Amino acid sequence: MSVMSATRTNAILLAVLLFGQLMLMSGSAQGAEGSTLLRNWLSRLTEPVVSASGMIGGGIAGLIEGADDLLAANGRNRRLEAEIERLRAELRITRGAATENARLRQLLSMRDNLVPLSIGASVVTSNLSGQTKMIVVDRGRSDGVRVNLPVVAWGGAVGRVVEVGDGHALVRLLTDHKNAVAGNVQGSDAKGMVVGQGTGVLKMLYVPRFSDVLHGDRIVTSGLEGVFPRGFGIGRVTEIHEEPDGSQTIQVMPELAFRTLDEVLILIEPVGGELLSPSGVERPR
Amino acid sequence: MRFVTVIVVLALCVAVQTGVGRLWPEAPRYIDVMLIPVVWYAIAGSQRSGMFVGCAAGLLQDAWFQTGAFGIGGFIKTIVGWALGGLGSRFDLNRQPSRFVFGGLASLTDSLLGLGLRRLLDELAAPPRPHEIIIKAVVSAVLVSGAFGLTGWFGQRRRRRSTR
Repeated sequence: MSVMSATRTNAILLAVLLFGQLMLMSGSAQGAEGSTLLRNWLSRLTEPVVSASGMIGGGIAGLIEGADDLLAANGRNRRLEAEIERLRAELRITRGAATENARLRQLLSMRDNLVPLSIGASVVTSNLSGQTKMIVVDRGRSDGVRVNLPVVAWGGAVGRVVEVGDGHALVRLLTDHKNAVAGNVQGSDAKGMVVGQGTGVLKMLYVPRFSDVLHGDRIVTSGLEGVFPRGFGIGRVTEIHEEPDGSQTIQVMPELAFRTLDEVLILIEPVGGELLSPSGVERPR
Repeated sequence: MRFVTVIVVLALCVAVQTGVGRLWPEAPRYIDVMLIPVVWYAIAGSQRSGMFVGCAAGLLQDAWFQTGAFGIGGFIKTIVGWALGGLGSRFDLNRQPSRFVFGGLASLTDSLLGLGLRRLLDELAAPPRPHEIIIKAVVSAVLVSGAFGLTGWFGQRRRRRSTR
């Protein structure tokens, strides 16, 4: 009798738990506050554990990388010495160009603060398995991070912030099946929407058929979706398919190696300061 | 006391999964550390504990390691905990081979339920390949047997010390 009642109680409990989670799922899909609250609460509760573990994992990864680097360092050292010599010569030329650039900027009355304002963040953990492609970084609400901010790294766009805790943020990578970013072919007017596939490659959709696109062309952010500033690298064209609707679908190989990401930049003010308004144009000095 | 132990175990699993993900980002394709406490509590505890631990472990997984709808992991692991707890009360799971089999079965159920539910919610863009699901099941089976073996060994050592 008691076994029967325990089974019945468990069945009722199961139904309640499953119903609760169905509500959470539908709330999460609609962006309801309750679902986000529970997620934030759980994240906050376990944040110290995740941070500590991420640090330990990062330390171990650093040690492994360090050992690898040490082995390769000797040969690289010689190459770098030659590179330094070449760069010194380049630097002399660049210094001259910088002076000229500053003079020209002054002439054009451009502002220096058009550069995006960013903060650096370290990757705590990553999940690049299956269709989920995300990283957790050690910067959160207390650092000014908000949902939908773009995240970049040396070499290109990484993804956008989708969840923010006090001291951490979840970043959905470009390759995640739920991500999309407006892009254009560098040096051409071909524009499209670059969407993640949940695999290692990206797809650029809605590119007009007669656009000038070639294999190996570089795709950069166009800034049209209002999240990423324009000009951040996305990837290179590997395949071009013609669609029956008169558009082209382009397969893009991401530029960044997401699995080796250690540090990223979160663009706190993606457009950087204020853009010049027609009335606010400075007078030539 | 038991509640605190569950929290510590879950926190430990989150820490291990985080560390593993940091070292090898593709690891979650083959290793689901959050499944271990679910199987553990369903086999060694009761159906109810398996269910509640499954719910908590799944939600933690959703919060830290997934970008889809929040609650999918909790939903799946609650069912896994409940089903394993039910089977655990009908079969003798005190031997390592049966724990190995049930660990693998739990992982298979978890993967297949995830596949179905994500397809139902139109969240399935890149389904896992069959060999990935099988490898994950074998790894989970090894981890579950390992966890039972390790705690059994510690228990024996403690008993030996107390009898000396």
